[in-house]
Amino acid sequence: MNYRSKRKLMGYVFLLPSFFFLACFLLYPFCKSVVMSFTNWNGMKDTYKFVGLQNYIDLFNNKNYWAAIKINLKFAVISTAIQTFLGYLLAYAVYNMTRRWQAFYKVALYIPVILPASVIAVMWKFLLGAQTGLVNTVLRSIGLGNLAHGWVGEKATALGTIIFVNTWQYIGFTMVLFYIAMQNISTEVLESAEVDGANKWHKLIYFFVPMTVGTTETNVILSITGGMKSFALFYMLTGGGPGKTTKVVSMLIYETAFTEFKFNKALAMAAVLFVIILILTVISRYIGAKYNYENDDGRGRTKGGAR
Amino acid sequence: MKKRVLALISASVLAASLLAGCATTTTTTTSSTTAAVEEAAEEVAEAAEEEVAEAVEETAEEAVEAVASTGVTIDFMHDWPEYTEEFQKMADDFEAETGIHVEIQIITWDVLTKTLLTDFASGEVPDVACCWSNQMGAFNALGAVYDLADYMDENDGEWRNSLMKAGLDLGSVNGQVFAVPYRTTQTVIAYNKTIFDENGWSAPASLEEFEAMMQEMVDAGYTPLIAPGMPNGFQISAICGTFAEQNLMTDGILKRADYLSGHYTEIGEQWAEAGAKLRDWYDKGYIIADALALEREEATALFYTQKGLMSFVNNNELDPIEKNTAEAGFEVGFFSFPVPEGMENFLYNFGVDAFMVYSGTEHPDEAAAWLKYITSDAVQQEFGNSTKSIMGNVNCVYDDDLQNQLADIFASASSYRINYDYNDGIGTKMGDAVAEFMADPDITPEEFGATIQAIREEALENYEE
Repeated sequence: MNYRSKRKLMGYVFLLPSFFFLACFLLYPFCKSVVMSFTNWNGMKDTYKFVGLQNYIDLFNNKNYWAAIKINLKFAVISTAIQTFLGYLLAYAVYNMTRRWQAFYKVALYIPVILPASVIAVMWKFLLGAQTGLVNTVLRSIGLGNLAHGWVGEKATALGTIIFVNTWQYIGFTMVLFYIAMQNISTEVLESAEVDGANKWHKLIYFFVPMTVGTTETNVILSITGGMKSFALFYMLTGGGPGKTTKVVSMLIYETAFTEFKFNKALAMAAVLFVIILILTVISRYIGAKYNYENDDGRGRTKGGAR
Repeated sequence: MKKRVLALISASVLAASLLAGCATTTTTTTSSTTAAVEEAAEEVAEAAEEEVAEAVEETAEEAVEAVASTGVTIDFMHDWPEYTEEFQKMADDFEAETGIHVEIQIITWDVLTKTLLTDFASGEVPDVACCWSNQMGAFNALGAVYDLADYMDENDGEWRNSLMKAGLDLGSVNGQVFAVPYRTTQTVIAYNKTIFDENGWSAPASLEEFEAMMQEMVDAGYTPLIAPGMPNGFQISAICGTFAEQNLMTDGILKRADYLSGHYTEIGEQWAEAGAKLRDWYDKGYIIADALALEREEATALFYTQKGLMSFVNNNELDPIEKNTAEAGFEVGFFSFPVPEGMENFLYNFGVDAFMVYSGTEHPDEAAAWLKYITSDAVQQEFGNSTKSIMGNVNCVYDDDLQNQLADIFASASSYRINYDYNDGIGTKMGDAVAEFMADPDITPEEFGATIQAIREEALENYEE
């Protein structure tokens, strides 16, 4: 065996523990879940029988599931758009600050990211209470009582409220991602742009945005997948209400499995959700790859290969 | 070089002497302990024989003490963080008496059902867990609960006779006893008696009187009823359910055996009428605005700050209600949700906070002993006195006037709560449907009634599959 082959083999050997871990805790449960989604297993009994595609046929006729998917898509797309836009602007603002203020804002904006969802839910419930919440109390005290709402209890405002709280929580993460990407832009390029007369706005539009598309793509993928899987905020802020206004797919899966004891149907829901998220991720990657200039060598070619 | 050699030799000598010392100790002790061990073993065997003989001769109460000497630990879950000290004291006293250690886990009432169902699915269930008696049909269908009937029948049914029959019946399925009633849990209406007296209002005797009174309150600028709608419709859903049951009573369905076991589902019409009435109450201002966005804590705070004259409360909140209303400067009274004129007085969703034993427990005797202890006369009386609860033990006597008022309400009314004999899996669907109906004016009462009927039919269909 020559040296190259040995190196290759050693590489695989070092990968084995990780692969074993992934196989045990990811591949096996995933495959088992998919297999069980073709059975009538209720989660409590050891016996079950295969029912073919019946669970999936029932799922495609399940209005509640598709209503929940719609809520998830709305939440994911709107949250992603707002977070990406606002996060980028914040990152640019922090990039242009002095070091001291950079340090302060980076920490201050990141604190909500590390708070547990339960803490955030309790805090915002207190702030958004219909009768005694701080937000409505302040609005009433300044003569804007007509703007006071039952934020988490009204159909018109419940989803928007959760989007707002979610944005508040994760804007810091988005900001840090973009800030790091901006740090990687060559200062020589920016200086030469300045010499040519570019102001901050020109630099933002013609340099920063195109040169951070890769990060934007990453952020979009993370945000969309996170939004489609979201559970904690919905469960703790609104409980899926009022009615089913904010009942997302993960809540439906949880209730189907642990309240109705129909694990087979819950697994089918989860499998379909996985496929939907995969499609959205592929679309994001395709769009991102088309416009990604971060690896560009300046002549329209990606480094390490032709375009 | 020399120094190294010397150092090595010293280290070797040191190590050798240590090892030699240990060997010597072992050697010298081995022979002397052998005889002692043999003697001790004989003594233990004799003592064990005597103990077993004594245990066999003892009665059920003394049998608990015999079992206790094994040093068993049982897991116990309750959903009252506010009574942590009381339950810990019970556990400590029980352990002192029996030697059985009780490991306590605490959750909150709003996650009780979900916690239990998740635990059942995972197999990680406490030996004894809190529950609501009416869930036993569903839990038995899942094979999750232990039949305590044999323990109930010991000593000529001594334990069974000490507990409230209504509570025991609620937790029994086909003669098997799955839940032991600990205390009642029932929603009643607390009212601001001070403002009532000032305006000449009193606890209504009928639904018609109640509606007329609330109209007077609205005309006088008051908000009559505070009812939280979160989570999952909560008390708003309960009001709708109350109306529905009254309609079912009028139509002769409520007392049917198939209805009470969850096998009769043609209830759409009655729920449609109930939904229409609920919307009417809401539109007239009888129920506080933004009720769907209100949580229980906020609703209670509104009652204490006199933003509304009446509030749905649980009877077990009597102690904090008395304290907080006294602090707020008004007197409080209670009444149950009234029924239409001429109808038999019954309570909607009469419930019992109970305890069940997990079917997979490794310590059923110890679990039963613990349950017997916490439902015994002395323990129940002490808990009832300190918490103002209406206890499951029929031998309890109450000193508090309001406590007696509540006890009278429960004693004088019937209840026709559905006790499903299968896992209905309905969960929060009914409450969600009510909340959805109230949040969306485009949903007609007929559509709402059809939704409720469909939920019940689906649950029965799944069971029959």
